[in-house]
Amino acid sequence: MAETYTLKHVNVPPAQTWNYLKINEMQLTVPTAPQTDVIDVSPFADIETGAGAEASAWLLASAEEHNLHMVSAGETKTVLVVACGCKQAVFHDVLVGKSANAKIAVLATGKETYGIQLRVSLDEGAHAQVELFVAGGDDSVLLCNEGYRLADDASLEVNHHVLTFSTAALGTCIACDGANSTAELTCRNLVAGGTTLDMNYLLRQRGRLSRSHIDVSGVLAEGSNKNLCDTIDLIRGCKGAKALENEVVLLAGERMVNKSLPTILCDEDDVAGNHGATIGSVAPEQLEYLAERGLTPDEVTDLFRRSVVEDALAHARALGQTRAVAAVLAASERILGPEATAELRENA
Amino acid sequence: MAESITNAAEDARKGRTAGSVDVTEVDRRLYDFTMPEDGYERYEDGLTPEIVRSISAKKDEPDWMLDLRLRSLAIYHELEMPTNWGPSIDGLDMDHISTYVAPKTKQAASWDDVPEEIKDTFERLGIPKAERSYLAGVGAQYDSELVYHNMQDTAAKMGVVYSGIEEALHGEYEGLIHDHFMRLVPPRDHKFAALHGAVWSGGSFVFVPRGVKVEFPLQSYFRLNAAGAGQFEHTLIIVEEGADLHFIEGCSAPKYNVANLHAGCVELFVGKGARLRYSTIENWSKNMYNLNTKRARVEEDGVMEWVSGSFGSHVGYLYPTTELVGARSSAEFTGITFAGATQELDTGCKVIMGAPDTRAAVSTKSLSKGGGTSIFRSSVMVTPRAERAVATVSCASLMLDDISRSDTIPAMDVRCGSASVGHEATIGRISDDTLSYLMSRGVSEEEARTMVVNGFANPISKELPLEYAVEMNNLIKLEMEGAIG
Repeated sequence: MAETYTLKHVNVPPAQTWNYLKINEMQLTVPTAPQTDVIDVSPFADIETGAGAEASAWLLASAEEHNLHMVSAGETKTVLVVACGCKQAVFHDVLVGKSANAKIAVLATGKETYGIQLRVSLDEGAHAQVELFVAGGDDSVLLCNEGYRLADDASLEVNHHVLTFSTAALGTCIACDGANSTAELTCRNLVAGGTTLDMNYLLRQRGRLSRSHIDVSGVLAEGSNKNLCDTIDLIRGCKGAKALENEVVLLAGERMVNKSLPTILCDEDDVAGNHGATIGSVAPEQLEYLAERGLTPDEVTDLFRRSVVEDALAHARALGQTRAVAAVLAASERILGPEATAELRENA
Repeated sequence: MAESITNAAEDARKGRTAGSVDVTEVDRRLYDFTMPEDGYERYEDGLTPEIVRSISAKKDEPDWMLDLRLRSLAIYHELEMPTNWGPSIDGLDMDHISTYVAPKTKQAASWDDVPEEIKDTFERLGIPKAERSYLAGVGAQYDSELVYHNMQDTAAKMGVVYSGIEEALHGEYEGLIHDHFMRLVPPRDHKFAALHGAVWSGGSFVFVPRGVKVEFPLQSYFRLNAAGAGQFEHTLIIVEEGADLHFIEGCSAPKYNVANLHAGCVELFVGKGARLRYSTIENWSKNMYNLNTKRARVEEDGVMEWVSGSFGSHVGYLYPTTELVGARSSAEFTGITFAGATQELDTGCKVIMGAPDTRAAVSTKSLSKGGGTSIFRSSVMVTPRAERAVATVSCASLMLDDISRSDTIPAMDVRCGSASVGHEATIGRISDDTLSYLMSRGVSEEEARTMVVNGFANPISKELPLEYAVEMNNLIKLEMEGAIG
């Protein structure tokens, strides 16, 4: 039997709750042990990542190469990160120069256990748009560890499209260090029966007048497991900062496990922090309305699933990345079936 | 600038004994008075089986209660406090806490029979007056023992039982108490539940028979007078099918520069179609470690209402919990927490929805000022059996200066597809526009801030009987003094 190792503290939120709720961390079995003698000496080493130090150590040790991308000041560039392997990781750092514009497409289409580490540093006035497409095999176990650091006036848009996987652990930390920096983190997810999605999203706001928004929505099928810890940390000194967290979960089945820990940590009075979460199923009266128009309850749920896939497809097409489009369409075949996917292809 | 909380090294530098804390000078003369302990019985500090046996022997308890105490003590020593969440309790040293301090008096049914200085204490706190004006019954606990317990004849004639729990243990209700005591909060629940099980003393037993509606509230008031001591009262309330009760709990203590501990326990059983409202104004002094545990179990169509105001304590861990085990049962929690200088109050609530068509509504407010830390911590668990359950959680936090802290950590665990759970939270400060508006109408800045805070707290104070709302508003006013600068 191949040797494996269990990462015990993955996706640990900064503020924890009662241990019996089993929401404070995740354990993940990986093919090899993290090597403690591999030290990250890059300038990105101090960028905090969402999945944690143990995860970072494994990803650093498992990556065949460490990729560095530079987007020069004022330049516009697209970076493609592809993780399609098996039992290995990809490791990418991106430096986005002053007033530069970067689009980063991340394709997670691997098999068995695989990982992605992405760290992005945005200089003054820089903008980055990151699109993650999780469309791995039905047996895939993904560890995706992201860290972002924003200087003054930098802006970041991160979109996670989580479509197919067996287990996916997504850890994202965004540090709005600069004044007037803004960050938006959106996740649209489909959690199928028998699969597990664990997310730790952390927004640390240090910059004055910084803005952040976390928006997570998804559909949970019968027998699915989803864990979301999203934290906004308003750190002393971030006067005038605003933060907003939203979560919407559609429960599409009788039995599933949905855990949420939406946290606001506030050490500064001159801020505004809000969060809201709504968890439930399509209301009976809405189902009735749609039934009168010929839709069964399963078809209604499919509408929501389709909207997530369509959204992913639209983002992939807007990026101009054919591999991303292909990955989403392949996932769509498994989620919606060939007929619906053919429609999506035609609508391009 | 708020006085800071001392740690062990600072204690040593200043020559203080372990467990001492600085307390902010707030005008709390109404609560901040001490009485001499002449002639009192005080057990030695620390926690040993001999102390536990002495407490049990003093109360002449049945064997099962001594057995529970000793098992609890063993569990206490076995369990650890979690280190990954919650405020630090490093300043609490059980080797410097006496678990039993008692005046030399027996429980009385008339204030005339209560020793003068103790009666004077409760007169100053307004308890006898409240009893005369609007209560159906009062229990008053002083340090480790109940010193007064009485109930109106009208309530007694309806079959309501309201007595000291130790008194009830020696009568016809021993069996009922055995079947309910530490069943909702077992000793293994957490370390301080185990401590409570080992050294509990005092507290009330309430039994409201089927169909009886108690028109006026019952109240228990807990006063901890002794320095370096703990209070571990146990409140057990059983409200039978179709019955209705409002129970009010109040507490206070004078400030000391050593730690005091409150590890009480409240267990509430709400029968089918019954209603219980449990209101608390917690006003412990700011050297107190308040590690209280409250839990209710609600049967079919039962209603549990919590109203909670937390103003005192140096460190607080307080999460009233409701188990909705019967179909269509419901829970409502309305609370306010005010964390001032030297305070770290971790409060909130838990609801476990374990049956179909259950309902839960949580609405809390928190304020932090003068370097205080207020943490709202909650959990809503919807089990697979809770079909069509509906829960809403709302938390608003107001920060009154830029040296305080406010966190919200609400957890939701939903396992039923037909349930519906909503949550919202806001954190912010009093807006400059609001203050400008009020001040332009001739109100000083301090008054303006107090008005806004009172308005913020209004949804909670209006749930209380008028006299308690007045007390709550007075406590807010006390906390707001010096809020400028």
